[in-house]
Amino acid sequence: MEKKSTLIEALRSHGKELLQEWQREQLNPALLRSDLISPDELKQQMENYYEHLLEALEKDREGELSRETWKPVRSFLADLCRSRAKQGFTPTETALFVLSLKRPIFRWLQDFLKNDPEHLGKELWNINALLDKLGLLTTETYIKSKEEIIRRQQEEMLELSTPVVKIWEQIVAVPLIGTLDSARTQTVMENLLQEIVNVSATVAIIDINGVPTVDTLVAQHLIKTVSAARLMGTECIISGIRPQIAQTMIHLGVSFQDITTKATLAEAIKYGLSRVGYRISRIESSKQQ
Amino acid sequence: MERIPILKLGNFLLVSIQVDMHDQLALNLQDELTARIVQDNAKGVLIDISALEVVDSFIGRMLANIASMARILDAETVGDRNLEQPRCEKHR
Repeated sequence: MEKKSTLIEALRSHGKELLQEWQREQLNPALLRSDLISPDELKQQMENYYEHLLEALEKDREGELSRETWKPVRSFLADLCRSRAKQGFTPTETALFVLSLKRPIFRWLQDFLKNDPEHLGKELWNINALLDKLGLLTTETYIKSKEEIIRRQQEEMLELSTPVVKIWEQIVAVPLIGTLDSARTQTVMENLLQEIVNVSATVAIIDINGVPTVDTLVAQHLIKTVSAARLMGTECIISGIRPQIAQTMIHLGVSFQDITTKATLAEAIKYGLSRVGYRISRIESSKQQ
Repeated sequence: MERIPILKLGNFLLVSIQVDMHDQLALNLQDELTARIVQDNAKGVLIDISALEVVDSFIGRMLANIASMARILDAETVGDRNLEQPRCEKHR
């Protein structure tokens, strides 16, 4: 026990040398991503991390990461991983930040406990286990933060990708882009119905030009949306049907029954305008040109 | 490669099938016709099959499919059924 405390004291007193060696390793051009992080910032991070690590080790030598003493280290690493994930580091590079500390410490330990091989083996194992755990923690946090980014982007996409635009008085349009699943259909339907109420629309155009495939499920979703709009007294037009989509729909036996369909959005707008009593015509003067 | 010509008459597309309709030809026609309906913004399609000797089940289904596809793309299809009319009567 006494020896262990001397070890940690030594880790602290020799901290500068160890840190320098570790920094040399990290700043090695093969490892350093100078395009993503500046050397000074990296050095600062390493110093902070070393400080936290020693503090926690002093209080709890067993290295049980779930304990309260390790909280500063854990939260420091979590912050680090989150920022690394955002900056575009790979998981390997992130884990190496922690794991590369092994070499300086091992080398130093070997030197320090030269005369006590038994103790050396035990210490090596302890520090190895601890650093491995920390390395795993970084990887886990890294992946978690990546997943968080993906989830947030998904949510953003869901909201961004379903705008309802007003074309003219009483005419609204929904340009759909991307795959239609039930969650998305729900959002589209809610947005569309709300907008129908807002502008008291009588014609709604659903443009599916950006929908990559239309299978029975997607068609069912579309029909549901159209029926809902119909209940509110709005006529729905489905437009932007590409030739390939038309073919797959027929082969799957999908039909939009009595729903008006148009090949292009332009056609749909023209038809919609005529339904509410407008007509598109060319200005006289430009006809002569 | 054999092709069935698609002629544009104002807002309409005219397809006159003058050769023996084999399966691949029917598939090509389906591809080309659907593309042309969108491209030319066609309101109607006329398919003349008076020169066909035999319309087998596949070709029959293809023609029906083409008509449904045109419907989805907002074009009406009429078929010139000169040949089929007397046949149906014969069966009766």
